[in-house]
This record gives sequence, C-alpha cells and structure tokens, in this order.
Amino acid sequence: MTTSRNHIDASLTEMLDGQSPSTEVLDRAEKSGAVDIQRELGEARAGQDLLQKLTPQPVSAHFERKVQQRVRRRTGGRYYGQATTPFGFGVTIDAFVVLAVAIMAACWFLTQIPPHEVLFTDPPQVPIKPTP
Amino acid sequence: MGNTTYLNGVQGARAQRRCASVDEKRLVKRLKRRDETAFNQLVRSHKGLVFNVCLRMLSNSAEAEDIAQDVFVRAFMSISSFRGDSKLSTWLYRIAVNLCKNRLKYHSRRKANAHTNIDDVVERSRASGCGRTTGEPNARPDEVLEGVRAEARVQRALMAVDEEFRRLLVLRDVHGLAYIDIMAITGLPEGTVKSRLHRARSALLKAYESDMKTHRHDNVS
Repeated sequence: MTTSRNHIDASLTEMLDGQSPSTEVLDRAEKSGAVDIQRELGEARAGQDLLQKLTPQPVSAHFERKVQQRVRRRTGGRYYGQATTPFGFGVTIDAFVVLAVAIMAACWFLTQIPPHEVLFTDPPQVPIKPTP
Repeated sequence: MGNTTYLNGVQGARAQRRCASVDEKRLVKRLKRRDETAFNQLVRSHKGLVFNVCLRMLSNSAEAEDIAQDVFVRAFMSISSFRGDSKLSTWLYRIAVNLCKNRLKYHSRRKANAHTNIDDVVERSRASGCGRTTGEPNARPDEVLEGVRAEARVQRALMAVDEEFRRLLVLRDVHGLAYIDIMAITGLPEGTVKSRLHRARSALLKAYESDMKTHRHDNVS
C-alpha cells in the first residue's frame, strides 16, 4: 500500500513538473478511488506557488571578511599557501631560496680560500744570524 | 532554419556547460593548492545561495549567517577530500544542509525555539526592500508591507512542516535545483525525492492555511 502510494506521489510530482509520468499507476489509483488526482495536483501546485513568494535575502556586507577571519583564527594564520609562482615562470619560491643559499655559499667559499702566494710562502730572505 | 537555430542553441549550451566545468576544475585545483584568491572567488560566487538555504532552513538570519560562514570554513578545510564527482555548488549545499540539520537537532534537544524567529527574517526583508511579491521596484508602501506579511506567513508555514520536507522544498521549489543535485545532497533515490516532495507541498499548504486561520482569529480577538 505504502509503496503504491509512493509511486502515486512520485507520478504526481512528475506531472506537476511537466514530465510524462507512468499514467498506468495514476489511472489505476483514480479508478479505485484511492486518490483524487485533480485535487492533489491542485494542492501541490498551490504549495509550490507559495514558495515563489520567498525572495532571496542579501548577505551582510562583511561576510567575506568574516569567513577569512574564521579561517585564519582556526588555522593560526597558516592556512593559505604562499604564492607558488612569484614571477610567473612556474618556478616555486623554494627554488629561489635554494639558489640564493647556493650563491651565498659560493661567495663565502671564494672569500675564504687564501691566495696561492699566502699558502706557499718562500722562506724568509733575511739570513738568520747564528746565536753567539 | 528553425532547426539550425535550435542546434546552434544546443551546441552553445553544451559548450557553455563544458566551459563552466573546465573553469570549475581549474578553481578546484587552485583551491586544493590553498590559493587565497580562489577561496575569495568561491565565497563571492556562492555566499548568496548558501546563506539563503540556511536562512530558509533555520528562519533566523544571525544563525543562518553563522552557519553559512561555517560552511565555507569547512569547505576550505576539507577541499582535499572533494573528489569532483558532483558540482562544487552541490557539495557546498550538502555541507550547508547537514550543518542546518545539526543545528536544528541541537535546538530540539535543548528545546529552544530560537530558530523560529520569523520576525527577524521579516525585518531583514523589510530593510532590504526584498519582501515584495508584486515584482515592481516602485511598489506602494502598503503593497510592500503586504508582500512582507505574505512572506512571513509562508516562512512560518515552512517552519511548521517536518524538517525533512522543508529541506526538499527549499532545495527544489525555492532554489530550483535539479533532481540529480537534490539526490546528491540528500542521498535519497529519485522516486523518494519526488514522492516526499509531493507530500511536502501538500503539508506546506495545510500549514499555511492553518496559520492564516490562527492569525485571523488573533486579529479578530
């Protein structure tokens, strides 16, 4: 009984939507006097029309800012990813960091290596006087 | 000639849909990379729909806004789990409907009636000038007032029907969602959605009529 009632209700909704429902179910139901199709359709249509009176309401002006605040508060400000392509070449910011570190290391090495003459110094030119 | 125009229209619609889905995929990709501008774009484009679903479900604008904000926060947090089986808007609707359901359950457990604050919704529509049914931007004040009253009556009737019915009415008749989207949001099969929708519309009409009677009695007494 419930299943057939479900079928009838679903068919009535299809009818209201302008689709062609399986009329067999509705015909059988109407013949048996279980349902007054016109009345039920009228009620459903009236219910549907009522909801057309509801108009969309505007969202408050600071909605976006409040959402951002919530996201930041919940994640301690660490939620959003950093700009991944700073110069638009598809290279990540990490690559620039690594490159900068490599250049600094190279510079440091270059300044630290003493010149050749400092490494291999000649013996002193002044003769060492023998001690008396 | 007419046939060609029709075919062009169909092809145009298909191309538009394809473009929209490509755009959405790109947006989801950016969201998964936690791109802040993509998040702002998402909020800007869907805030109205999400807020209005919550408003009609809860009938309290402050609560609806609170839930709507929470919807976006949750969406941001769990965007990595979004598989792209449904539309992004459908996914947001599902989060919104579930959060509203939880809030209503919370209210019923606490036996608080805070969510039936219809006047709040009425005030809001009066303030925004949206509560009119005449469709004319320069409607007379009495027409505007009548529109606001009619809207309040419908909202009261909506709050009087079962929460399950209300959900279907809001999704289908207020927001005009397709059955496939409603099925994705509610997890119900198509036949069940349609049969419940029929009962929901009848229940809404009965609630509306009973509300009219009650208020007429109040006015008389």
